[in-house]
Amino acid sequence: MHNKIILYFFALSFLVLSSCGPCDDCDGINFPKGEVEGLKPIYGSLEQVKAIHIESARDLENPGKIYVKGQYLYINERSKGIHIIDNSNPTAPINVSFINIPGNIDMAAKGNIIYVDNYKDLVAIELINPQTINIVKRLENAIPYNGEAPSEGGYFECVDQSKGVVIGWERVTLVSPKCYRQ
Amino acid sequence: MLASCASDSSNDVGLPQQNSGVGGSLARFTIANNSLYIVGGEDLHLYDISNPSNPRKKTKQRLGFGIETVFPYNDALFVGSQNGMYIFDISDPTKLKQLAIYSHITSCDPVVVQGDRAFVTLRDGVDCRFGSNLLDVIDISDLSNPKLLKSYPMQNPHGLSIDGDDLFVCEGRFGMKQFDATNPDALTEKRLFEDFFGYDVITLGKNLIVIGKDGLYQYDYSDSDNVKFLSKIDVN
Repeated sequence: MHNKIILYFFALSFLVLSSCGPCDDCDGINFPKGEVEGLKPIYGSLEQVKAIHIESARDLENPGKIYVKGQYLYINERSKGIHIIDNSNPTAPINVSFINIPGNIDMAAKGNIIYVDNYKDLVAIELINPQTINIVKRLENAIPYNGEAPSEGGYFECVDQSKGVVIGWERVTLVSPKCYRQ
Repeated sequence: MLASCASDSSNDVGLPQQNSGVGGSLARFTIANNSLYIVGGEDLHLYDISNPSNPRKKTKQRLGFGIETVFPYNDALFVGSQNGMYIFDISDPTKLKQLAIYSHITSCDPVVVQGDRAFVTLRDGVDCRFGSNLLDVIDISDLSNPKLLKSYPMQNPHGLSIDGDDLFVCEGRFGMKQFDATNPDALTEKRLFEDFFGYDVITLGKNLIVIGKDGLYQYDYSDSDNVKFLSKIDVN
Protein backbone atom coordinates (compact mmCIF):
# COMPACT_ATOMS: atom_id res chain seq x y z
CA MET A 1 0.00 0.00 0.00
CA HIS A 2 1.16 3.53 -0.68
CA ASN A 3 2.94 4.69 2.45
CA LYS A 4 0.92 7.86 2.54
CA ILE A 5 -2.41 6.08 2.75
CA ILE A 6 -4.20 6.71 5.96
CA LEU A 7 -7.46 4.89 6.31
CA TYR A 8 -10.20 6.84 8.00
CA PHE A 9 -13.37 4.91 8.65
CA PHE A 10 -15.78 7.77 8.61
CA ALA A 11 -19.35 7.25 9.51
CA LEU A 12 -22.13 8.88 7.61
CA SER A 13 -22.77 10.23 11.00
CA PHE A 14 -25.46 12.37 12.50
CA LEU A 15 -23.12 15.34 11.96
CA VAL A 16 -24.11 16.78 8.66
CA LEU A 17 -21.07 17.11 6.45
CA SER A 18 -21.25 20.64 5.14
CA SER A 19 -19.27 20.28 2.00
CA CYS A 20 -19.25 21.79 -1.43
CA GLY A 21 -19.08 20.54 -4.90
CA PRO A 22 -20.55 20.41 -7.22
CA CYS A 23 -21.18 23.52 -5.22
CA ASP A 24 -24.28 24.47 -3.25
CA ASP A 25 -22.50 26.85 -1.02
CA CYS A 26 -18.94 27.45 -1.99
CA ASP A 27 -18.80 31.21 -1.71
CA GLY A 28 -15.32 32.22 -1.01
CA ILE A 29 -13.84 28.76 -1.52
CA ASN A 30 -10.95 28.87 -3.90
CA PHE A 31 -10.69 25.72 -6.01
CA PRO A 32 -7.12 25.57 -7.26
CA LYS A 33 -6.22 24.33 -10.70
CA GLY A 34 -3.38 21.88 -10.39
CA GLU A 35 -2.07 19.88 -7.47
CA VAL A 36 -3.18 20.19 -3.86
CA GLU A 37 -3.14 17.88 -0.84
CA GLY A 38 -6.46 16.36 -0.03
CA LEU A 39 -8.52 13.24 0.53
CA LYS A 40 -9.67 10.66 -1.95
CA PRO A 41 -12.45 8.17 -1.34
CA ILE A 42 -11.73 4.48 -0.93
CA TYR A 43 -14.51 2.40 -2.42
CA GLY A 44 -15.68 -1.00 -1.27
CA SER A 45 -17.78 -3.49 -3.11
CA LEU A 46 -21.36 -3.98 -2.07
CA GLU A 47 -20.66 -7.64 -1.31
CA GLN A 48 -17.96 -6.62 1.14
CA VAL A 49 -20.17 -4.21 2.90
CA LYS A 50 -23.47 -6.11 3.02
CA ALA A 51 -22.33 -8.97 5.25
CA ILE A 52 -24.11 -8.82 8.63
CA HIS A 53 -23.48 -11.35 11.37
CA ILE A 54 -23.52 -11.73 15.11
CA GLU A 55 -20.32 -12.03 17.10
CA SER A 56 -19.19 -12.26 20.68
CA ALA A 57 -19.15 -9.09 22.75
CA ARG A 58 -16.46 -6.54 22.03
CA ASP A 59 -15.40 -3.37 23.81
CA LEU A 60 -16.95 -0.04 23.00
CA GLU A 61 -14.51 2.15 21.08
CA ASN A 62 -16.49 4.84 19.32
CA PRO A 63 -20.09 4.75 20.55
CA GLY A 64 -22.77 6.54 18.61
CA LYS A 65 -26.54 6.29 18.85
CA ILE A 66 -28.26 4.34 21.54
CA TYR A 67 -31.63 2.61 21.62
CA VAL A 68 -33.31 1.10 24.65
CA LYS A 69 -35.79 -1.74 24.46
CA GLY A 70 -36.90 -3.73 27.45
CA GLN A 71 -33.88 -4.97 29.36
CA TYR A 72 -31.49 -4.38 26.46
CA LEU A 73 -29.43 -1.41 25.35
CA TYR A 74 -28.45 -1.33 21.69
CA ILE A 75 -25.37 0.84 21.32
CA ASN A 76 -24.04 1.74 17.91
CA GLU A 77 -20.32 1.36 17.30
CA ARG A 78 -19.89 4.02 14.63
CA SER A 79 -19.88 2.50 11.18
CA LYS A 80 -19.24 -0.99 12.57
CA GLY A 81 -22.39 -2.39 14.20
CA ILE A 82 -24.39 -2.66 17.39
CA HIS A 83 -23.38 -3.73 20.88
CA ILE A 84 -26.10 -5.60 22.75
CA ILE A 85 -25.97 -4.85 26.47
CA ASP A 86 -28.13 -6.62 29.03
CA ASN A 87 -29.16 -3.83 31.37
CA SER A 88 -31.49 -5.81 33.64
CA ASN A 89 -29.38 -4.49 36.47
CA PRO A 90 -28.37 -0.90 35.61
CA THR A 91 -25.71 -0.93 38.31
CA ALA A 92 -23.99 -3.79 36.49
CA PRO A 93 -24.73 -3.80 32.74
CA ILE A 94 -23.41 -6.81 30.84
CA ASN A 95 -21.97 -6.57 27.34
CA VAL A 96 -23.52 -9.64 25.74
CA SER A 97 -22.80 -9.66 22.01
CA PHE A 98 -22.15 -7.60 18.90
CA ILE A 99 -24.01 -7.43 15.60
CA ASN A 100 -21.42 -6.69 12.95
CA ILE A 101 -23.03 -4.28 10.45
CA PRO A 102 -20.66 -2.34 8.17
CA GLY A 103 -21.59 1.32 7.83
CA ASN A 104 -24.15 1.24 10.65
CA ILE A 105 -25.12 4.47 12.39
CA ASP A 106 -28.75 4.21 13.54
CA MET A 107 -31.35 1.74 14.68
CA ALA A 108 -34.91 1.39 15.94
CA ALA A 109 -36.76 -1.72 17.07
CA LYS A 110 -40.27 -3.04 17.18
CA GLY A 111 -41.14 -6.40 18.64
CA ASN A 112 -38.09 -8.53 17.98
CA ILE A 113 -37.22 -6.77 14.74
CA ILE A 114 -34.42 -4.24 14.74
CA TYR A 115 -34.15 -1.85 11.78
CA VAL A 116 -30.62 -0.75 10.94
CA ASP A 117 -28.73 1.08 8.24
CA ASN A 118 -26.06 -0.94 6.51
CA TYR A 119 -24.51 1.89 4.49
CA LYS A 120 -27.28 2.87 2.09
CA ASP A 121 -29.48 -0.16 2.72
CA LEU A 122 -32.22 -0.46 5.31
CA VAL A 123 -32.15 -3.92 6.86
CA ALA A 124 -34.72 -5.58 9.14
CA ILE A 125 -33.04 -8.07 11.48
CA GLU A 126 -34.94 -10.55 13.60
CA LEU A 127 -33.25 -10.69 16.97
CA ILE A 128 -34.21 -14.16 18.20
CA ASN A 129 -31.92 -13.83 21.19
CA PRO A 130 -28.64 -11.95 21.76
CA GLN A 131 -26.71 -14.76 20.10
CA THR A 132 -29.02 -15.46 17.18
CA ILE A 133 -30.15 -13.20 14.37
CA ASN A 134 -31.96 -13.69 11.12
CA ILE A 135 -31.86 -11.12 8.29
CA VAL A 136 -35.49 -10.86 7.24
CA LYS A 137 -35.54 -7.96 4.79
CA ARG A 138 -33.18 -5.67 2.93
CA LEU A 139 -34.29 -2.51 1.15
CA GLU A 140 -31.47 -1.30 -1.05
CA ASN A 141 -30.60 2.39 -1.30
CA ALA A 142 -33.29 3.22 1.22
CA ILE A 143 -31.16 5.36 3.50
CA PRO A 144 -31.17 9.06 2.59
CA TYR A 145 -27.95 10.20 1.01
CA ASN A 146 -26.07 12.57 3.26
CA GLY A 147 -23.66 14.09 0.81
CA GLU A 148 -20.58 12.00 1.31
CA ALA A 149 -17.52 13.84 2.46
CA PRO A 150 -14.67 13.13 4.83
CA SER A 151 -15.05 14.27 8.44
CA GLU A 152 -11.75 16.09 8.16
CA GLY A 153 -11.92 19.43 6.41
CA GLY A 154 -10.20 20.39 3.21
CA TYR A 155 -10.25 19.52 -0.45
CA PHE A 156 -11.41 16.11 -1.53
CA GLU A 157 -12.18 14.19 -4.65
CA CYS A 158 -15.95 14.24 -5.08
CA VAL A 159 -17.63 10.90 -4.42
CA ASP A 160 -18.68 8.95 -7.50
CA GLN A 161 -21.39 6.59 -6.32
CA SER A 162 -21.07 4.45 -9.43
CA LYS A 163 -17.71 3.30 -8.07
CA GLY A 164 -19.19 1.66 -4.99
CA VAL A 165 -19.64 2.49 -1.33
CA VAL A 166 -17.19 4.81 0.41
CA ILE A 167 -15.49 2.82 3.18
CA GLY A 168 -12.67 5.19 3.98
CA TRP A 169 -10.47 8.03 2.81
CA GLU A 170 -6.81 8.32 1.85
CA ARG A 171 -4.58 11.36 1.82
CA VAL A 172 -3.19 11.98 -1.67
CA THR A 173 -2.18 14.75 -4.01
CA LEU A 174 -5.31 15.81 -5.83
CA VAL A 175 -5.41 17.53 -9.19
CA SER A 176 -7.97 20.34 -9.53
CA PRO A 177 -10.38 19.03 -6.89
CA LYS A 178 -14.01 20.05 -7.17
CA CYS A 179 -15.10 19.30 -3.63
CA TYR A 180 -14.32 20.97 -0.33
CA ARG A 181 -15.43 20.52 3.23
CA GLN A 182 -15.28 23.39 5.72
CA MET B 1 -46.14 7.97 22.26
CA LEU B 2 -42.94 6.60 23.42
CA ALA B 3 -39.72 7.85 21.95
CA SER B 4 -38.95 9.40 25.29
CA CYS B 5 -40.79 8.60 28.49
CA ALA B 6 -41.50 12.29 28.40
CA SER B 7 -44.55 12.73 30.55
CA ASP B 8 -44.72 9.16 31.72
CA SER B 9 -42.60 8.40 34.68
CA SER B 10 -43.31 4.70 34.85
CA ASN B 11 -40.45 2.28 34.57
CA ASP B 12 -41.85 0.76 31.45
CA VAL B 13 -39.92 1.37 28.30
CA GLY B 14 -42.56 1.47 25.61
CA LEU B 15 -46.21 0.63 25.82
CA PRO B 16 -46.98 -3.08 25.42
CA GLN B 17 -49.30 -2.60 22.48
CA GLN B 18 -46.74 -0.66 20.55
CA ASN B 19 -43.79 -2.76 21.55
CA SER B 20 -41.08 -0.46 20.32
CA GLY B 21 -38.26 1.09 22.26
CA VAL B 22 -36.73 4.47 22.89
CA GLY B 23 -33.99 6.31 21.04
CA GLY B 24 -32.06 9.44 21.87
CA SER B 25 -32.60 12.97 20.60
CA LEU B 26 -29.93 12.52 17.93
CA ALA B 27 -31.74 9.61 16.29
CA ARG B 28 -32.31 9.55 12.53
CA PHE B 29 -34.65 6.56 12.87
CA THR B 30 -37.79 6.48 14.94
CA ILE B 31 -40.89 4.34 15.26
CA ALA B 32 -44.33 5.73 15.93
CA ASN B 33 -47.31 3.39 15.82
CA ASN B 34 -46.86 1.21 12.76
CA SER B 35 -44.47 3.46 10.94
CA LEU B 36 -40.70 3.76 10.74
CA TYR B 37 -39.47 7.29 10.00
CA ILE B 38 -35.97 7.85 8.66
CA VAL B 39 -34.31 11.20 8.07
CA GLY B 40 -31.08 12.18 6.43
CA GLY B 41 -29.67 14.23 3.58
CA GLU B 42 -32.59 16.38 2.50
CA ASP B 43 -35.37 13.91 3.13
CA LEU B 44 -37.84 12.35 5.49
CA HIS B 45 -38.89 8.79 4.59
CA LEU B 46 -41.87 6.87 5.91
CA TYR B 47 -42.07 3.05 6.00
CA ASP B 48 -45.08 0.97 6.93
CA ILE B 49 -44.07 -1.63 9.52
CA SER B 50 -47.51 -3.00 10.40
CA ASN B 51 -45.88 -6.25 9.38
CA PRO B 52 -42.61 -5.68 11.24
CA SER B 53 -40.54 -8.14 9.19
CA ASN B 54 -41.63 -6.52 5.96
CA PRO B 55 -40.99 -2.78 6.01
CA ARG B 56 -42.64 -1.16 2.99
CA LYS B 57 -41.81 2.27 1.67
CA LYS B 58 -44.83 4.50 1.80
CA THR B 59 -43.65 7.97 1.04
CA LYS B 60 -40.78 10.37 1.09
CA GLN B 61 -40.67 14.11 1.38
CA ARG B 62 -37.87 16.42 0.45
CA LEU B 63 -37.47 19.01 3.15
CA GLY B 64 -34.26 20.93 2.69
CA PHE B 65 -30.61 20.95 3.51
CA GLY B 66 -29.13 19.09 6.45
CA ILE B 67 -31.98 16.98 7.83
CA GLU B 68 -30.54 15.38 10.95
CA THR B 69 -32.84 14.24 13.74
CA VAL B 70 -36.38 13.03 14.30
CA PHE B 71 -38.59 12.90 17.41
CA PRO B 72 -42.19 11.71 17.62
CA TYR B 73 -44.67 13.04 20.18
CA ASN B 74 -48.34 12.04 20.20
CA ASP B 75 -49.56 12.55 16.64
CA ALA B 76 -46.74 14.83 15.65
CA LEU B 77 -43.22 14.36 14.35
CA PHE B 78 -40.47 16.90 14.95
CA VAL B 79 -37.55 16.93 12.52
CA GLY B 80 -34.36 18.79 13.32
CA SER B 81 -32.31 20.21 10.48
CA GLN B 82 -29.51 22.66 9.99
CA ASN B 83 -31.94 25.42 9.11
CA GLY B 84 -34.80 24.76 11.43
CA MET B 85 -37.28 22.37 12.97
CA TYR B 86 -40.08 20.89 10.86
CA ILE B 87 -43.35 19.82 12.46
CA PHE B 88 -45.54 17.13 10.85
CA ASP B 89 -48.94 15.73 11.64
CA ILE B 90 -48.59 11.94 11.57
CA SER B 91 -52.09 10.95 12.66
CA ASP B 92 -52.52 9.33 9.24
CA PRO B 93 -49.83 6.62 9.27
CA THR B 94 -49.52 6.58 5.48
CA LYS B 95 -49.04 10.29 4.99
CA LEU B 96 -46.79 13.11 6.08
CA LYS B 97 -48.57 16.41 6.56
CA GLN B 98 -46.23 19.30 7.19
CA LEU B 99 -47.64 21.80 9.64
CA ALA B 100 -44.86 24.29 10.20
CA ILE B 101 -41.18 25.14 10.06
CA TYR B 102 -39.50 26.90 12.93
CA SER B 103 -36.44 28.50 11.37
CA HIS B 104 -33.25 29.36 13.11
CA ILE B 105 -29.72 30.34 12.34
CA THR B 106 -27.81 27.56 10.65
CA SER B 107 -26.66 25.09 13.28
CA CYS B 108 -27.14 21.52 14.47
CA ASP B 109 -30.34 21.02 16.40
CA PRO B 110 -31.83 18.00 18.10
CA VAL B 111 -35.30 18.48 19.53
CA VAL B 112 -37.39 16.87 22.27
CA VAL B 113 -40.98 17.66 23.14
CA GLN B 114 -43.12 17.51 26.24
CA GLY B 115 -46.62 18.89 26.56
CA ASP B 116 -46.81 22.06 24.53
CA ARG B 117 -43.15 22.90 24.68
CA ALA B 118 -40.37 21.87 22.32
CA PHE B 119 -36.78 22.06 23.52
CA VAL B 120 -34.13 22.52 20.85
CA THR B 121 -30.39 22.80 21.30
CA LEU B 122 -28.46 24.78 18.71
CA ARG B 123 -24.75 24.41 18.40
CA ASP B 124 -21.98 26.07 16.42
CA GLY B 125 -18.74 24.47 15.36
CA VAL B 126 -17.10 23.02 12.30
CA ASP B 127 -19.97 20.73 11.40
CA CYS B 128 -22.68 23.14 12.34
CA ARG B 129 -21.71 26.19 10.39
CA PHE B 130 -22.30 29.49 12.05
CA GLY B 131 -24.86 28.82 14.75
CA SER B 132 -24.86 30.02 18.31
CA ASN B 133 -24.86 27.82 21.39
CA LEU B 134 -28.37 27.92 22.74
CA LEU B 135 -31.26 26.02 24.25
CA ASP B 136 -34.48 27.31 22.70
CA VAL B 137 -37.83 26.70 24.35
CA ILE B 138 -40.62 26.86 21.81
CA ASP B 139 -44.36 27.14 22.37
CA ILE B 140 -46.05 24.49 20.23
CA SER B 141 -49.55 24.76 21.66
CA ASP B 142 -50.46 25.54 18.07
CA LEU B 143 -48.39 23.08 16.03
CA SER B 144 -48.86 25.13 12.88
CA ASN B 145 -47.46 28.18 14.56
CA PRO B 146 -44.42 27.44 16.72
CA LYS B 147 -43.17 30.45 18.65
CA LEU B 148 -39.90 31.00 20.42
CA LEU B 149 -40.51 31.64 24.09
CA LYS B 150 -37.03 31.83 25.43
CA SER B 151 -33.40 31.20 24.48
CA TYR B 152 -30.95 30.12 27.13
CA PRO B 153 -27.22 30.49 26.45
CA MET B 154 -25.33 27.22 26.52
CA GLN B 155 -21.72 26.22 26.05
CA ASN B 156 -21.52 23.23 23.71
CA PRO B 157 -25.04 21.77 23.62
CA HIS B 158 -25.67 18.37 22.09
CA GLY B 159 -28.48 15.88 22.74
CA LEU B 160 -31.13 16.28 25.42
CA SER B 161 -34.01 14.56 27.16
CA ILE B 162 -36.94 15.63 29.30
CA ASP B 163 -39.05 13.70 31.77
CA GLY B 164 -41.60 15.62 33.80
CA ASP B 165 -39.80 18.38 35.64
CA ASP B 166 -36.32 17.10 34.82
CA LEU B 167 -34.54 18.32 31.72
CA PHE B 168 -31.07 17.04 30.95
CA VAL B 169 -28.97 18.72 28.25
CA CYS B 170 -25.61 17.36 27.17
CA GLU B 171 -23.00 20.08 26.94
CA GLY B 172 -20.34 18.24 24.96
CA ARG B 173 -16.91 18.90 26.43
CA PHE B 174 -18.55 20.67 29.36
CA GLY B 175 -20.48 17.59 30.47
CA MET B 176 -24.22 17.67 31.08
CA LYS B 177 -26.61 20.11 32.74
CA GLN B 178 -29.65 19.18 34.78
CA PHE B 179 -32.45 21.76 34.75
CA ASP B 180 -35.58 22.11 36.82
CA ALA B 181 -38.26 22.36 34.14
CA THR B 182 -41.26 22.80 36.43
CA ASN B 183 -41.72 26.05 34.57
CA PRO B 184 -40.22 25.50 31.09
CA ASP B 185 -40.34 29.22 30.43
CA ALA B 186 -38.07 29.82 33.40
CA LEU B 187 -35.64 26.92 33.55
CA THR B 188 -33.24 26.86 36.44
CA GLU B 189 -30.00 24.98 36.38
CA LYS B 190 -29.85 22.41 39.13
CA ARG B 191 -26.59 20.61 38.61
CA LEU B 192 -23.64 20.35 36.28
CA PHE B 193 -22.13 16.92 35.66
CA GLU B 194 -18.57 17.60 34.61
CA ASP B 195 -16.86 14.25 34.43
CA PHE B 196 -17.57 13.35 30.84
CA PHE B 197 -18.02 14.64 27.29
CA GLY B 198 -21.80 14.39 26.89
CA TYR B 199 -23.20 13.61 23.43
CA ASP B 200 -26.70 12.46 24.17
CA VAL B 201 -28.90 11.45 27.06
CA ILE B 202 -32.01 9.28 27.33
CA THR B 203 -34.35 9.39 30.33
CA LEU B 204 -36.17 6.14 31.01
CA GLY B 205 -38.53 7.02 33.83
CA LYS B 206 -36.23 6.35 36.75
CA ASN B 207 -32.79 5.95 35.26
CA LEU B 208 -31.05 7.85 32.54
CA ILE B 209 -28.24 6.94 30.21
CA VAL B 210 -25.64 9.42 28.98
CA ILE B 211 -23.60 8.59 25.92
CA GLY B 212 -20.18 10.09 26.45
CA LYS B 213 -16.94 9.92 24.55
CA ASP B 214 -15.24 7.81 27.16
CA GLY B 215 -18.16 5.72 28.26
CA LEU B 216 -21.85 5.17 28.81
CA TYR B 217 -22.98 6.49 32.19
CA GLN B 218 -26.15 5.51 34.01
CA TYR B 219 -27.75 7.55 36.78
CA ASP B 220 -30.84 7.23 38.95
CA TYR B 221 -32.76 10.52 38.81
CA SER B 222 -35.85 9.42 40.76
CA ASP B 223 -34.84 11.99 43.37
CA SER B 224 -34.13 15.13 41.30
CA ASP B 225 -32.19 16.69 44.12
CA ASN B 226 -29.94 13.72 44.48
CA VAL B 227 -29.17 12.17 41.11
CA LYS B 228 -27.10 9.07 41.82
CA PHE B 229 -24.43 7.44 39.72
CA LEU B 230 -25.19 3.79 38.97
CA SER B 231 -22.63 2.45 36.52
CA LYS B 232 -20.34 3.15 33.61
CA ILE B 233 -19.62 1.07 30.54
CA ASP B 234 -16.09 1.98 29.53
CA VAL B 235 -14.98 2.97 26.09
CA ASN B 236 -11.47 1.96 25.09
